[in-house]
Amino acid sequence: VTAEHGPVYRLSKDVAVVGEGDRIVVLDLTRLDRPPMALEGTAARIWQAIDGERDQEQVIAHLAGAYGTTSEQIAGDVRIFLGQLVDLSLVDLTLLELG
Amino acid sequence: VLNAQLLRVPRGSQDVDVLVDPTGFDAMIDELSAIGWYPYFQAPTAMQWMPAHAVSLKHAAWPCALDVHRFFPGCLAPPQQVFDELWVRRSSVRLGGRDVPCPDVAGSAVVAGLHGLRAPDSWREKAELVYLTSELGRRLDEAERADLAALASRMGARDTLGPMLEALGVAPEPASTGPEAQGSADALADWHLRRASGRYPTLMRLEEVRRTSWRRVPGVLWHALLLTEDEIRYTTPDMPAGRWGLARGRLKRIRRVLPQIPGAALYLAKNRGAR
Repeated sequence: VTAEHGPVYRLSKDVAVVGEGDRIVVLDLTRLDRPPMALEGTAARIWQAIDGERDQEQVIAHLAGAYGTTSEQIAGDVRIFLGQLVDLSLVDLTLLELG
Repeated sequence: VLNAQLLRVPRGSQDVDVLVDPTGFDAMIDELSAIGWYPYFQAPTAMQWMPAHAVSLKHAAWPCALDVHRFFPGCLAPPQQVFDELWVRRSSVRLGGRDVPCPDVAGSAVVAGLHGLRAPDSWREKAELVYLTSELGRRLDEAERADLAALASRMGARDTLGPMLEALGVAPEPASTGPEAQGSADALADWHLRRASGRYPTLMRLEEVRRTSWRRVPGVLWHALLLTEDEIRYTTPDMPAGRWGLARGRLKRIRRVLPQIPGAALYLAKNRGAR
């Protein structure tokens, strides 16, 4: 991990995911008492931006590019949503192995 | 799974069918109940002489139903044997980004073939059976067809799957001659009854009456004609609420059922001897 690269976001190995585009449904296989979570619109796009290589700022920059806006405009909402995904254990924060 | 294995024309499903190891069936239902799945009333088909092959479950947060199977209709071998046969040669499909265990192509072919054969009067089942047979005919070589026939035989589907195996040009496995043969003959006769019930809707009820001791006949007949309120409201969803609506629904049922009885009785007379 370098100063320019924070922990990366990675989809949990314990989730099942169906759907594509603007609608994605996610199920935590370790918490089957919880209902499946449907992500639509920008939530689905944030999910798709989580590729196991991008850190928070890179996810934000990627989405800003995709939506033709600035990182500053969307950073707050994206950070909150990423935090929720981590809290729900649907996404892991991982240190990227370099080299 | 059938979509992924290219064994049927791709379509969405409103329910998920799972076959459970019979030794773990009750535990599985308990586990599912604990996380919110509940049994829902389906069609009034419960007959004492024909055990339910599955429990249908729903969940408030899920848009699909879950059919948890004890066995598959048409597999006449003991349920544990059928499960073990499918499990030992299981395959997997990628669903939701996960590897999900499922029957291999031959196992799926037996299950899907029986599903198509159990309702010969349904255009959809018929069309799916034609598609399945043609797909298997195109894909399976001689050894794979023989393997399919042998698997069907071990699952007790040698005869029930016969029409599909015949269409594939597979030589039938030798028939069983052991002490279980009579039990198989009875189970096979029940299978044919189930198949004919699409054409004769009162057939299963009549068979229930036929199998009932004479003391219980009036009660069974009464139920067969009038059904319980839940059952009749399921079969007649547009029935008005209240007692008057119920009475009208039952009258409507009697008018519908009575003319169907002679045909069903004739079928039974021709196809079932006295038990």
